[in-house]
Amino acid sequence: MSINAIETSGLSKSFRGVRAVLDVDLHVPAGSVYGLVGKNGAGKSTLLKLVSGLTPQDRGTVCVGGRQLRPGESDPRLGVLVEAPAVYGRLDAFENLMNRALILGLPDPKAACREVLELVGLGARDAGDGRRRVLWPRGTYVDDLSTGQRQRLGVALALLGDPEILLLDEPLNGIDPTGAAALRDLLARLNRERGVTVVISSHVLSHLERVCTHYGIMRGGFLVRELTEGELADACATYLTLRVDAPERAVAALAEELPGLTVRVLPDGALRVTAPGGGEPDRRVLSQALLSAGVAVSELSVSAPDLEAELVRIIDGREPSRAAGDASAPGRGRSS
Amino acid sequence: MRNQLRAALYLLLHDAYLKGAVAITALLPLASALVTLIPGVSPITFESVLASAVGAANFGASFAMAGLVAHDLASGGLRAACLAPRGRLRYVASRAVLAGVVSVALMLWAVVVAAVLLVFPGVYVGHPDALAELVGVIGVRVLVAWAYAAIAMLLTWASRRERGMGGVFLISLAVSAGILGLLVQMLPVMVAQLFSQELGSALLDGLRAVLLYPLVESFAVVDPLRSVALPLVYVAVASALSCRLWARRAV
Repeated sequence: MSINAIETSGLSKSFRGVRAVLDVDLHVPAGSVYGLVGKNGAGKSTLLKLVSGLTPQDRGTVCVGGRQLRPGESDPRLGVLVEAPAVYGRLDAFENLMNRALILGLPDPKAACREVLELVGLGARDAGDGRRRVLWPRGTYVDDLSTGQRQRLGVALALLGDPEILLLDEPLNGIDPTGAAALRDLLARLNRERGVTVVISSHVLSHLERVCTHYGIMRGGFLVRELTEGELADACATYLTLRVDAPERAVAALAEELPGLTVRVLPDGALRVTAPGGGEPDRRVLSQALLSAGVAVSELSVSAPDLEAELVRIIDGREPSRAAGDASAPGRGRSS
Repeated sequence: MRNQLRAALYLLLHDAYLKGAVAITALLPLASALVTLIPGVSPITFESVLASAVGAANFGASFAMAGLVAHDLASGGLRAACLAPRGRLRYVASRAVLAGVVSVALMLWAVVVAAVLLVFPGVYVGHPDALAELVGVIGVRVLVAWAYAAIAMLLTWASRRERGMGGVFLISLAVSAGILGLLVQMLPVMVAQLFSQELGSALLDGLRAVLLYPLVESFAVVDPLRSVALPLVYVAVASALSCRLWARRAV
């Protein structure tokens, strides 16, 4: 049985009577890239602060790698960037990293700082003339850095000490598109090559859909749903909507002739047909099967909801189109 | 703990407040020595220059440490310390230990400055036989400065608000100049005296015995045991309260 990298149970936190996180049972599988999505104020940052120990919880438990943490306790296996980067404004980037490296007791703190600076694109680069040019602005106070540079520094701080689990809250905020793509690639690489579990929160879904293997959706302080990349992909599969003169006969005919298809009867009598793997069902074969069963098709349309639209539906509290209100007939196309 | 202490020292060495504390400790006795160069002004003793330097160092220790924790609060930097094994406890402990180190260092700096100022023609050693006693006085001042710094840090942390240079200066001055001690003493005594003169006097004596500022009223060690034990008790209590403060605070 695999241990979740992070697991919470009944986690709750209120601020001056305002409930920020409520009874959250989070399950982050080890080795996953877990996207925490939700609108602003949904409780994503508070949840990450509770998990990281920056904010002690009112109720509930947090387990990291199977070990239960005390309220306000931080696990050394975590690398954290929550809200603003944990930096001293009147130190430069390298000095801030040195401070963190000393706290972690790294054996060669300067080398470790240089390595993470290079990883996030703030390190030394070959200037083209054979000389190494330092890109990170040494001697410049962090207060004087751009938002994007500060954010990169925050990620660099989180990466110090080779953490097993990264908690990143809106890490791509303020970073230019090229930098954001590079950072996404870096996270994917760390996950793939070093097995680092990444929890990344964002309200910009396009930031997540290229890297995440699991999703947790927050709304009003609740974790309303957890789903895998596959489950989300299934929810986003291309489907056909058919209007036929005899829905029940059509379901039986499709179950008989095309058993691989999933057929659902919608409340208005229309049929929704999906193919395995999320691909588009073959319209010609489907029409022939219905025709041979004596079913007349009056309307046929193709829909292909995208990942973002599907997530937005869940975030907004509207169930995914095919899960809500449908009289489902999965598998061999039984109707109900 | 060792790691947190190394990091705290690294931060302190990059902190402007420490530089300010070092400068104040040197400038105050320098000013009193410079005054002797004015024609007609009487020479002053080495002991009074030293007292001036030690007084400045006393303030400087509170100023440097309250400034350091003000910087911790002002930025997200505090999180770097809390995101470590037993981070909150070790964060407070590292600052408390560092306050002691800073107190020792600034007192030594004060002694060096005072010794250097002997080159001024208007500065002379008043009591050559009593120089050995000064070691004891300096030792007590180190402990009192440490206790004051621990209290100044506690007040800065407890204020919850981001403090600028002015706020840090006021907190440090209120604590290290004994203003806070006087207030703590006078307010209950004034209330007690409304009821009974004797009760007021008894309370005054009782409070003087447990407050720090009477230990540094004169440049001498009055009660050696109390002079050593009382500051250490203050350091321990202030650190314990600070730990309690940070145990459940969101950062």
